[in-house]
Amino acid sequence: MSEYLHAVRNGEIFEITLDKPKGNAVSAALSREMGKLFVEFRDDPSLRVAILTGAGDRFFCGGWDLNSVAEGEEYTGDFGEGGFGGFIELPNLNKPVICAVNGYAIGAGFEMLLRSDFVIAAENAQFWLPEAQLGVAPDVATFLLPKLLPRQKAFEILMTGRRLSGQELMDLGLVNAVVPQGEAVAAARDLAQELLKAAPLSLAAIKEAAELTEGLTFAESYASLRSKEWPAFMAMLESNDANEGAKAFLEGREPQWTGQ
Amino acid sequence: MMSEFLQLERRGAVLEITLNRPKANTIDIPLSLELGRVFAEFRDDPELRVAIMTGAGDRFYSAGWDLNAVAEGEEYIGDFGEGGFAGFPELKDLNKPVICAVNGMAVGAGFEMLMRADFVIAAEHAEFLLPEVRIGIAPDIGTFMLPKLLTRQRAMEVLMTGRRFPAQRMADWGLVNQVVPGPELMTAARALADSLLKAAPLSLAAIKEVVNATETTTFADCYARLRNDTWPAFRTMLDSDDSVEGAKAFGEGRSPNWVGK
Repeated sequence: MSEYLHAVRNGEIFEITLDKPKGNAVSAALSREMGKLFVEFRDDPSLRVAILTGAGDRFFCGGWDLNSVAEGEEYTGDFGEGGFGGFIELPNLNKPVICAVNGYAIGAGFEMLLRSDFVIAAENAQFWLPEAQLGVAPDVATFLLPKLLPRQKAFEILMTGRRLSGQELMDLGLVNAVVPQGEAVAAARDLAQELLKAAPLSLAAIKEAAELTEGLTFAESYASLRSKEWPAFMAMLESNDANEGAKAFLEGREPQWTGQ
Repeated sequence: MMSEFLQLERRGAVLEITLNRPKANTIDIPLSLELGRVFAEFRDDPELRVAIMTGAGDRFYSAGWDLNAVAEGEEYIGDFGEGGFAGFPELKDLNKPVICAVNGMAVGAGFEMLMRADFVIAAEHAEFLLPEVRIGIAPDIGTFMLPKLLTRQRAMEVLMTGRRFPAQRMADWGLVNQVVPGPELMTAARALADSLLKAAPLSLAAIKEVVNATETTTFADCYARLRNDTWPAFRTMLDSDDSVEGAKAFGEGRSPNWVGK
């Protein structure tokens, strides 16, 4: 593992900390290392929720490492199978990812959050896209923000480079909760514990279906579901856990999930 | 048409449907089929212009799919009728507004149907939740629609945690139009229906048709289709007597008289 990454197994929770002084900036090589960690997370059935955070209180992630850019890394280069930061493009990542934003999230360090299932922000966190002021342009944010927000708000974030607070992003729906400085990881762990109460195959079915219906109309979404060709969704419907869930509900007890 | 679990009332051009299936207003396949027939009748009757759906009592709007029916073998990917679960979410050419008046808890598919309602008015004590992940299954409509209606982060919070959300939060997120005290719920829904009756029926039909037809269409393609006359209800609206009447009444400073033609 890279000297700039710490990965800890906390029961079924996989905690990844980005620790590259001073700004937790990510080069292509570091991004590929992050991708390997998220593959390990995806493929290990004993892991169910991932938390990504940054070391220290100042930076979550300063984005793409400008030193590597100066050394010739290409914008459309190889950031690994998971894309920048390791999870945003990873195929079949059907488990929840929580980003615990401990400090500044800049450029691609902000953009990765748009693909995170949950975002917890510390009060001191700030979010901005400085690309247009540096003569480049965001990619993930340019694709996603106009779909997530009204055009006017999306362009404000994409074009002005203005710094936004966690509270502003929470009002826009891009952050789930804002917590005091230093408490983002603790809040992310509480959320992860809540997610562990859900059936693993249920969460997998949701992520798969959200991904597969992204460009489909409502009618096309149902037609696609009824084709019975969604592997994770069909596995969920036919699972022992689906029986266990109904049984436990009727018996008034907590279900015991086996993930099968 | 009458089912033991549905109360139907025509109030002028408004059809009011009350789901009354104690204790929790859950829906099984036969009731869903019945609702599909009610909404098809609403769609096909030119006298009817707006539907309001609510639940009896003040505890449950609808607790969703009846788990007893599930225990007796109803299939998740089963036949819930041409309108889909609860009769309207999938009904074709339902080009009239549907208002859901949420009188209590909206759970599972009872919440999901609201994502396909045109308007949602909620009692302030109403709560909204998708508990599917806690019983080992997953939502369908919510999984398709929430990531399109909300940001990913809010969508996943609703889909993956099974948390209960208060009506005011759903209003803040844009899924509920108005939150009112419980006793004023039907008054608010009827006032909204009455305001919709002031619109030309063919205008509302054109709007619903185009919104549904352009769900995933790019802006440039939307205009290309409009200019190619792709949409029958839109064309009917443009060619209607009502579109002439609307301009005329405006010029004469009087209320228009809609004939729906």
